[in-house]
Amino acid sequence: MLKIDNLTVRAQEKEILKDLDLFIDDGEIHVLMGPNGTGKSTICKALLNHPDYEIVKGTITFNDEVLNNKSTTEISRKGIFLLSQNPIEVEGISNSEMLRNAISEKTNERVDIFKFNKKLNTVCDIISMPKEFVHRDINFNMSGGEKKKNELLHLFMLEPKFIILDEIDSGLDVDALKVVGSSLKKYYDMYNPAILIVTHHADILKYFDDYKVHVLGNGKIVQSGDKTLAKSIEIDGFKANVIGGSEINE
Amino acid sequence: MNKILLVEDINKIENGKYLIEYTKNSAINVLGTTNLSDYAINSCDLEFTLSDGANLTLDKLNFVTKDVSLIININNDGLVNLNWVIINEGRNRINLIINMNGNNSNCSARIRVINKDNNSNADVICDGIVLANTKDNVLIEDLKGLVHNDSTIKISPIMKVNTNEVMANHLVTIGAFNRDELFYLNSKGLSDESAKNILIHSFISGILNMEMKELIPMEVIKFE
Repeated sequence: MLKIDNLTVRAQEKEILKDLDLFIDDGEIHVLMGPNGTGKSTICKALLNHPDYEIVKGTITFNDEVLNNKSTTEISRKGIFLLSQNPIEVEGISNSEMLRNAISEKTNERVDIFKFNKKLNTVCDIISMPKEFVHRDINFNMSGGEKKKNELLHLFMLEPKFIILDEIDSGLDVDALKVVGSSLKKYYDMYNPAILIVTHHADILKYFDDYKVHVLGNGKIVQSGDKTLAKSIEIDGFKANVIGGSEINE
Repeated sequence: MNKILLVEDINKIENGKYLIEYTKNSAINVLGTTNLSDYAINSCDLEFTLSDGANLTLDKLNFVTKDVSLIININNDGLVNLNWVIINEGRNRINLIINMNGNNSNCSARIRVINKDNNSNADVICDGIVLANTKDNVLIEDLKGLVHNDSTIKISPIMKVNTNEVMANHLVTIGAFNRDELFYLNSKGLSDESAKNILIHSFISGILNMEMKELIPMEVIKFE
């Protein structure tokens, strides 16, 4: 489904990803771990063609379609969703208003308000979110945990096929992590999307049964393994667990 | 909300919450605690004069198509909160003059300006004048312009402070769209046009009260 071939990405005149390869098939969960500054967030933004990140070489293919020259909007409409670690606040526009526009533009049809509102209510129940949140301005004056839940609302409403979670567990307390983790699991069970989880910790992973783990070092994947690799890293750190780990810049 | 039609002569408004309407340049005396909202397609010149102890909150959303001026005269123990959204069409000069003539008053002026189209040019001049021999006044100007096309916005904050016993600040920013904000909205599947309109709406509505926000649904503010 998603194939990254020999990808080199530059930002602020510095190469951050170097010849990176990654393949994620339909319904698979892949975890990308690594110390700070190794390019984890760069992958997330490059996949959605953030204007500050330049693809120097290589290709990103999604369902046999090359994404390199697609706009962020086009990529999103193909079903790729980024849940970022610091969602932007937009004052003056409600979640409901934004989502209605986004769905209407994607489907090129008028949104049936009755069905839309019904779905919003259902989603609020699934993610344990007060219903008034749908009428609140997008992430405006929300706590870190509320913002992540708010992004989950967007996720469930937009129904993407491929989800990128950029350090979704950062800044969450135990209870918020539980809500976020179990909501993501529910989404996975309902829609069976492919998921790329970018994280420092294994906390969020306990909500998923099976996944592949990759460790990023100096802009490329330096080791891959199964879920036991994530557990070992959580206990002993990156250098102890990764082949060539001493070369990882921490 | 009650409506008041301002006339050319001197008007007096005392205590209350009103939507003001006007078709000609007007002068208004303000007494007591007064909340005024002004949602005008063509703005005229207005002059407000506060009596001692008066408290004025002025929310303005104006579609400006010619040169306009707003003068606020503050005497003793006054409180002014001005929130002014200017949607400029054409090459216009917008002049705000705040005269702090007495003591112990507080004025906060927030202006957000945006051009309607590529051919427009807003020239915003804010004169904050604190007279000599006055004391304990606070004057804060927060002026922002959003450039969303090839048009230009010029903002000139001018403070003429003739006393040491005052706190006076001005903040001016003129900028384009934030790339991360655009990326965020695009990543939800919104087109560039929709994302920019949302950000414009956000820029504008950020300083308006709920009633004014309800007056400006998304459809009203569509830009080229």
